[in-house]
Amino acid sequence: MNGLSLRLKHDPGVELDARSISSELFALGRDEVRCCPLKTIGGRGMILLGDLFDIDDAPTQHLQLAGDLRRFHGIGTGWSAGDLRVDGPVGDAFCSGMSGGTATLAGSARLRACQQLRGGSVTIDGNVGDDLGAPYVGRVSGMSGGTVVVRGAAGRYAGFRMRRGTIIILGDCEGGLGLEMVAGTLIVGGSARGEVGASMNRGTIILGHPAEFSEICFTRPRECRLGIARLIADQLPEEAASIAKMLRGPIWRRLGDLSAGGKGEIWTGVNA
Amino acid sequence: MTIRPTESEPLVVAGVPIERTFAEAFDMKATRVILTAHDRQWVSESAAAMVGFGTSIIACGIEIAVERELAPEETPDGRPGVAILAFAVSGKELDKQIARRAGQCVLTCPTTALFAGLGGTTKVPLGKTLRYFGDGYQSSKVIGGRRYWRIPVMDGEFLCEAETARVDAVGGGNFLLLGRSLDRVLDACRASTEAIRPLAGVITPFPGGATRSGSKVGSKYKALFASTNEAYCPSLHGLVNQPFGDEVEAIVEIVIDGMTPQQVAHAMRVGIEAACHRVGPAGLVGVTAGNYGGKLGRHHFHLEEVLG
Repeated sequence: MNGLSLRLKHDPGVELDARSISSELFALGRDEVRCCPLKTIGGRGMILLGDLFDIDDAPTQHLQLAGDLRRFHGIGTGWSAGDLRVDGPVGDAFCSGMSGGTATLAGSARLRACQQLRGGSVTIDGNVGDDLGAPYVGRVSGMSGGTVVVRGAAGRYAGFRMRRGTIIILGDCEGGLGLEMVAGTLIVGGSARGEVGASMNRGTIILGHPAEFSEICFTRPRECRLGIARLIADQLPEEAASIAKMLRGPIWRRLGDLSAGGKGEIWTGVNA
Repeated sequence: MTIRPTESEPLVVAGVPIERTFAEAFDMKATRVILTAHDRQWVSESAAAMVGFGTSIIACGIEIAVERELAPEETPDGRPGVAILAFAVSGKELDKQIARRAGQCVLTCPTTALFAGLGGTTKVPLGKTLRYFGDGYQSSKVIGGRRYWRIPVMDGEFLCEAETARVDAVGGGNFLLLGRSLDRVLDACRASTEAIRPLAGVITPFPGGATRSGSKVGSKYKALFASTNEAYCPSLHGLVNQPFGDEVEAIVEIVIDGMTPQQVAHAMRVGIEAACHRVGPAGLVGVTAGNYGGKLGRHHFHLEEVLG
């Protein structure tokens, strides 16, 4: 089977482990897809995919989902190739461990979206909950590649321990942005609440608005023009035009987190 | 005129006889880098250093020159720049020379940055080796699938793409301008190199695009594997066998390296036509090309085909 369209028929009534809704479905026949089980979370039951979704064909290497999928957790886990499109909100751990292909969510995602992302490109039109791009529980480092664009707002700890790749959040962020960041690039177009970049080791946090910095954790800001900023600006989506404009001019750069021996950096457009 | 025709139909451009012979060229490895800087002065200073001592693989290890100037809107970081083409006999030598020149001539020059100018799977390291100069303070970013290294230096940071690519190419396309006087052959030479300069994918690596020391393979001295080509030294006329008469006073050779055989052939045609039209038969006794009997180089650029 080349492509699949799954339209939710009714609410499952329980929280479901939906990790099997992944690019591996492309390798299954229509009957196998219908019989694909989704385990209930916190219970011992399971529901077959065919009992919950109307299943149709879709273009090659496209998986399209539609409906209110807030009770479905882990959609797109390990996604490796092809296009995933979801129309509607999803539960936790959207595109967890994804390594390639593209994913588009026309809705919001709950906790731990894109955790341990390794590659590919994810676009989320709505908001995301806490721990965007964070590591799996117990892992030392989080997201290790790929690009995530969130058009809405993000919860706490976005980019927690991220190691590579790029996260672009066009809306606001709750506290803990870039906490213990290992490397990578974290861009926020809206306001970042609370302390930013605490205990960051390396990597770059780019802020479109002034934020809170600990004077003892980061160096005093220095004005500079960086060639790399221009290259980043050229890759930003159209919606991030204000950030792109900022990056093409002089920026203010802080280094830290000094308290953690870090060599990370935070860029802002103004000395604030 | 004593250029010996090999066909009954004379080959002539703007009244200048063209010998029916061929230029013999070789397989080489090539790469392109994009060098940018804060302003045109620093671009030129750094580029001059990087392409310096890069005329011939015989002793320089590499043939390298500026391919063309780039406007700010043509460069990755929006600053003025140049595209530089480099050719070597092996990928290993190319890697070595590019890394050395990037390290000593670009990294050292204020405000510069260095980027890949070619895509491909076979890589030539740039920032991948230079990053260690950062002594632990270097950092990298992957943007659009390409890795860039940022090395802190005294004027800010040196931005250098991790790698560029290398491709198979052609080195040693050539033609010789046989002049009636030194002034006229230099005039013809200038016309040639000016005409070739804007062409994409080719360079003329010798000073001013031309050389007066065309060489033959081997020497009476065992240590040398190339020596002066006495058959084309007018000052030895009458002493050695030469394919021209005493009306030839001076000769210069235009050597062309190119990314493809087609680009080399096109550059040869453009260069020959420009020279012939500039000075005509009053300035040039003829045009010929250098070869080694066709036994050394795989690429043979026959002048009648190039000009056809």
